[in-house]
Amino acid sequence: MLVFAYDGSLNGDWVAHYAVRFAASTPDRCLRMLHVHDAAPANHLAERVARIADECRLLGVGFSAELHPGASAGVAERLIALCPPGPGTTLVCGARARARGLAFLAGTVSARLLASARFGVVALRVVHPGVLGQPGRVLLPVAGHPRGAADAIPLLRLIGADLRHLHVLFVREASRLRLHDPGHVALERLLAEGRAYVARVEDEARAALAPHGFALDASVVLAKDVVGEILVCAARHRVRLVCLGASERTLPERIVSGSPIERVLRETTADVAVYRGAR
Amino acid sequence: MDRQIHNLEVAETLSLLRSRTEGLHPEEAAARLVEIGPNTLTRPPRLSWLRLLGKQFANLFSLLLDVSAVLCFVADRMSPGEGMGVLGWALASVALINAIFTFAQEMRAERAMDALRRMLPQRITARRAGLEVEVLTEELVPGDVLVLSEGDRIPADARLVESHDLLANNAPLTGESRNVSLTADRVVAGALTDSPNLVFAGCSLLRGSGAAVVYATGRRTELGKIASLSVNVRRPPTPLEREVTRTVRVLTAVALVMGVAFFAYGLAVGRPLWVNVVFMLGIIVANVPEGLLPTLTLALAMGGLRLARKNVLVKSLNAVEALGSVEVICTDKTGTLTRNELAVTGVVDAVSGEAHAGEARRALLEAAVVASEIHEQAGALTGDPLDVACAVALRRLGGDPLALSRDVVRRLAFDVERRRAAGVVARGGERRFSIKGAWEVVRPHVTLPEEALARADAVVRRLASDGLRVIAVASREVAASEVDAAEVVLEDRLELHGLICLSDPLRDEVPAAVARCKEAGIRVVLVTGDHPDTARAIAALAGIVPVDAGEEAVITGARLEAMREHEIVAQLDRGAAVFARTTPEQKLKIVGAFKRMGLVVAMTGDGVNDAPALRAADVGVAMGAGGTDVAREAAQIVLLDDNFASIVAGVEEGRTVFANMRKFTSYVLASNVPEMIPFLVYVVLPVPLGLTVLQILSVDLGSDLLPAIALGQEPPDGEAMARRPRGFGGRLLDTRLLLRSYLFLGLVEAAFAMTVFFLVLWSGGWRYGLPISATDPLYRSATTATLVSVIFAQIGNLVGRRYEARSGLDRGLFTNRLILVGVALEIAFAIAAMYWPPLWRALGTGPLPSWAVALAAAGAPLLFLVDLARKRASRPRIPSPPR
Repeated sequence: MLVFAYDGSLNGDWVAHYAVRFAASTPDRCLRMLHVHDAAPANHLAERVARIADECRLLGVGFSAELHPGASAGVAERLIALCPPGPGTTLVCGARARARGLAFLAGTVSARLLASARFGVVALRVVHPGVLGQPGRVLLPVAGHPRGAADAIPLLRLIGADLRHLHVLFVREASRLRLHDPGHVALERLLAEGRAYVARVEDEARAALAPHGFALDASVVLAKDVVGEILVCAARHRVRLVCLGASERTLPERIVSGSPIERVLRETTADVAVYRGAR
Repeated sequence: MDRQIHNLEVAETLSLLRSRTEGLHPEEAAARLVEIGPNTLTRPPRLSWLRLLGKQFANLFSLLLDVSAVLCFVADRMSPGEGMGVLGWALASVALINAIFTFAQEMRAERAMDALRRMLPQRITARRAGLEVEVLTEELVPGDVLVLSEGDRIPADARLVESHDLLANNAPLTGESRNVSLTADRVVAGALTDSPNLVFAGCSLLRGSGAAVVYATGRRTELGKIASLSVNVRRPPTPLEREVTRTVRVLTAVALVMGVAFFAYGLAVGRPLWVNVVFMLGIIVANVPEGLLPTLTLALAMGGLRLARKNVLVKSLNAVEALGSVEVICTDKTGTLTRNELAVTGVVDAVSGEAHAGEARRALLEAAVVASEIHEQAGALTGDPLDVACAVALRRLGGDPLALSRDVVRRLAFDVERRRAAGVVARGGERRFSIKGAWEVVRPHVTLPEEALARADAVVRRLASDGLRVIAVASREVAASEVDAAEVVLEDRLELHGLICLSDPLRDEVPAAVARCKEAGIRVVLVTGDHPDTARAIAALAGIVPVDAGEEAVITGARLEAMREHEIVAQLDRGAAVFARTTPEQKLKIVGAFKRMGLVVAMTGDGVNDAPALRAADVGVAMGAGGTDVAREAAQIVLLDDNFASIVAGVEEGRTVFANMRKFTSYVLASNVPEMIPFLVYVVLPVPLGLTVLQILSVDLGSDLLPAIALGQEPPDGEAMARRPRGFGGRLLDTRLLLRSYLFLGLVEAAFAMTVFFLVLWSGGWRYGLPISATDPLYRSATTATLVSVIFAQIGNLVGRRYEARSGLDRGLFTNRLILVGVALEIAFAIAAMYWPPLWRALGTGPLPSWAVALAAAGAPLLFLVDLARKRASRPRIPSPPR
């Protein structure tokens, strides 16, 4: 089931395009739209919902809209209660259109939904409103996790036929405390290990997205600034969507190293989809 | 089904943006402004300059100087009157000067942003509630309807809803010099950024009027993304930056280790704590080359000035040296290797290859002009060089290209992906669609039998292999109802007129420049959007590939598109040197492949869509004459004359700068040893301290500074381009340099200086083991002898460092007058230290007897000759270059 948490904003309209396109890639081709309002429904909500419904109709996607008053527990909790738990449910939501402080995700309903991990969540930041949810060129940074691209596959399946070019990037992080650059032999070993990992990810992606034809490319780099490399790679390959797994960092790690996801959201030149599967 | 903003009908676009042709209501606009934010480009964080300045004080070098300064102030409190306070201020000043130098360089990123912000207008006319009002562009929001007219700069990305003969210049974004005819119609296929029904922030309107509904503002515009990238993404450190960081780390580590070691030793042998602190500071100060960083910066700055005289503008000081480490140059063809003076040299029948004459020739050229975009300015034809060349050729036949151009009712602008331009002309009741472009693009649409097409293929290959640019021209009559039909309808069943051959001569100096690159071990690779055979022919003429190079020497964009990075690396390993029919995105792949091979890459470019490749390369080289502002901002080097040969001159200068850096690093490091040995001897043996800390600083920041700068200004010695490029592996500070500076030159200087020191003491009646007061005139004379000996020895070192293997006198002292000034200043300083009372008080020096002065002065020839003997012993004799 694909659920779209719509807040009735202009930013929400941009995210809606992704939700509709994602729904068109699901087997049941249905989009369930939820709007939870705190005090009153958003301005011109009916008009906006009607536009989303029109877009669904154009793509042959079934559409249902539900308006719910917010409970005392809050919008995020209400949405969690409304969505069936488990990996069969994916909820699409949006990050902030404007940063609060330096954060686009922290403190938002979407952040709480991602943290809940009761169902799959995709939180989107849109900086390419003109592509209307059809990114075409997608960047998938990977971090060497033993699970490979397993967590990202559901999101890539949602992108579906809109995926024209997938670039897998593995940034091997060089220690900031390292006093000297690794020698050539050590560097080649690190890069070779990275390439082997990336080859596995590519095979998984190709197998999982088999019906769709898309170009696949990959790169492995050694760098101290992982986020910087992601941004450079996105610009270099004219990427329209960067897919990031939700951070598993602990509080001390976040204090020391900051949040790479927030930095990508802040400095990105492409739309960003932050995803997390159900636990 | 593609449904991006440019694929939608006008009504659908307005509905999607919840707007109307009358525009938004003011309240709607205000609400959206609060939600989305102002239409401004990314700004650097507030007080970023303060953070940047603070960063300069946080590196290891500065921290060491700062901590040492603090210790000096504390030591001055504990034991006043020993000059530790003065030393503390001196160290703090050095840290500040170093920080300011590097800070000034890093602030240039701010200036790059200013160029982008200037591309946006401040006000624009928009429709609000049906009225046309002037609004601040900062207040534009998605859904606003812009009223556009000739001369307007576009403030945001927008979808056209009305278009009347609109013509836009999208060069700031696309780099294409061709102007784009705009339409409000939906576009069925093609990339968003190439769509003729969109206008983009930063671009300008040359003609016509219309209206457009905004869909992206601020950092969500295409321009905003470029701006965001330029602010947030730092270029990776250049080879020199890496080397300087490494050098500073190594020297700082040596200083710290030695200082702490002798502090511990002093404690172990029972010396008082603060005495040990003073010695530790002395050793640290002796080891840290305080003047090195400003000298490096000055050498780069002077190198930049010399490059500017050779038409190479350097936007970043580190790029001066980065050029010198380049191992691969990826160059454009048109305008860089060639003169960009396109001229029609032939109009031929495609099937027979015979020259057209008479009516056929005229008809072909007229069709070509219909598919062109030309204007008249100050009596001359302007536009894309290819279009102008066709128009000039038509004029020579007596035709009127401008009049013909005015009869064109529809234009389909040049498509960089599809490599063709087209137009529809209405004349004398007849309408005709014409297309001109690459043969392989036109070929599928012409009505010729296969046999004729095969013969045409052969003709095209033959002409291209002669180095000519070959353009196919075709046309057909169209009905009035077809004029606005989709391109795919118009491009069907065309009549092939023939081929236009254009020549763009190679620049005279290019073959010699390419040969110099090869001698210097630099690989030259041609990356062009042109035909493969033309590219191969030009590459052969330039000397990039052998004259008999076959098709396998060329990799086309189509092949490149399908290749993975490691496959491209494999091709490059096999010697691929020509890439044809490439797009700007494929340039990035080529850069990425070379970087994966660990090579230092320079890439040339002129358009905005070259900007990512220019940033990704280790050295981005933009064209100054024909390039766009954004390409120039993305690059580190700008060729003011767009000439490939200037890149080679820049490489030579860059190599010279690096070689000079090694020279003055070696020069400066050599004096560390005679500064440190007196402390070590003093700690271990019962003898007086041979050189005070203030005297050490007077050498490092005084007498050594100008000579070091002078070494940084040595002109190219003719050997720079005879060596292989140093690439990423080349070291500023390598084992050989360290051994030579510390264990040879430094030890010789130290032994000589300490000998003179003890001789002066001995001659004054001091004996081994006897204490002597720091204020004793004999002691002051003795330390002066050490100081002056070091200074004179450094003169010999200065001359010797001018050449790696030859005598430093081989090229003559007058080839670099700054060397002479440096020597004169060193001598003057030495004299002042001996005979000028104010300096006696400041440095604790005193007069020397004349025999001691003569002995100290012998240090100059001594060190020079000893060093020359070492050079002769370690290498075969190299003949001196002709004067």
